[in-house]
Amino acid sequence: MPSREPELESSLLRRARDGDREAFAALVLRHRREALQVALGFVGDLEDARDLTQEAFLRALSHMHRFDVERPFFPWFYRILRNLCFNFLAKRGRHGECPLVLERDGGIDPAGAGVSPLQSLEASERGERIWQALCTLSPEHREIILLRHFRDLSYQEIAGFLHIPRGTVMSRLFYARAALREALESRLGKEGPTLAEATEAS
Amino acid sequence: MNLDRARQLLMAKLDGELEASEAAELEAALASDPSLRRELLRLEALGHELDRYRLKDPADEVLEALARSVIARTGLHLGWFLAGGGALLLFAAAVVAVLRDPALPLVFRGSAGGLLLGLSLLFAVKVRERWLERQHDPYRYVTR
Repeated sequence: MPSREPELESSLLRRARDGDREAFAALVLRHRREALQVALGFVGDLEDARDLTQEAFLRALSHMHRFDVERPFFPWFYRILRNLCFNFLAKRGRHGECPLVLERDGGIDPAGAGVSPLQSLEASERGERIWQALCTLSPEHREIILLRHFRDLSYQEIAGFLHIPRGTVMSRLFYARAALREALESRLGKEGPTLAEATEAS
Repeated sequence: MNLDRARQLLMAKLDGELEASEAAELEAALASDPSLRRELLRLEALGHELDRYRLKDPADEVLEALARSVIARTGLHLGWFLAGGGALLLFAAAVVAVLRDPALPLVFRGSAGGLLLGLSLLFAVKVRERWLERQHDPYRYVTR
């Protein structure tokens, strides 16, 4: 997560709040990658994710006067972006569909390199199943899995991002993982070995 | 230890976030509860599976285009806000002026009244539609 150089960031935020467009542009450049990944994780489609990220940056700019510039920007921005994404998904009304895996620039990629084409294909198929299973989760469960596993945030950071206590982070993670495991095992069960066997074999 | 607390500590163990005092508490719970040990193994398997994947990085061209369009739109935002607000106020003032002017023919005043009524109806229908959609919205319990 982009918490680098807090003094520089707070200076950029102060200048952006005072109407300096170059400072705002610098903030966009610092956070665009993480922002787009967050939106992609929620909505799946690259075009939609790009539009929502744009809108979130513009809303952040127009509400900058309410923001305490001594605090990190990204957690505050994250809440604007996630709310936009949730509103978008609610309006779209297609909870559970997962276009992301079909996109070249989205979805989950096997982290390892130097594997054979067959292994790579198997890993992609497993990745697709994981992604499809994730998409069947409730928005809050999906979000906490994304934050913990795919953004590597600590419990303290997740608590700060979501404005919830550490205990709630842990409980929500438990239920999210249990739901994901169930969704995943029902998919693996139809098409192959159980999750434990699949992990063991690979 | 109650089940919810045990589950919280299982998560902390899996994620390397267990504090020293919590470790002893969890060890005691694991020693006395075989179902908790099985749960831990199952969740570890899931964790290993998820660790093999990462979210794809957006391409550099996509990031460039995103930054360019956000920066280009910063000026437009205020423009649209002022133009939209101004147009709305102008329209409302015009309708009120037409309705209140007894010198104008009845057809103008009737049309202005009909327009206002029609727009209000459209607004009410849209609000109702959104409310009905919300009843079936899986995101309605998400804290915004």
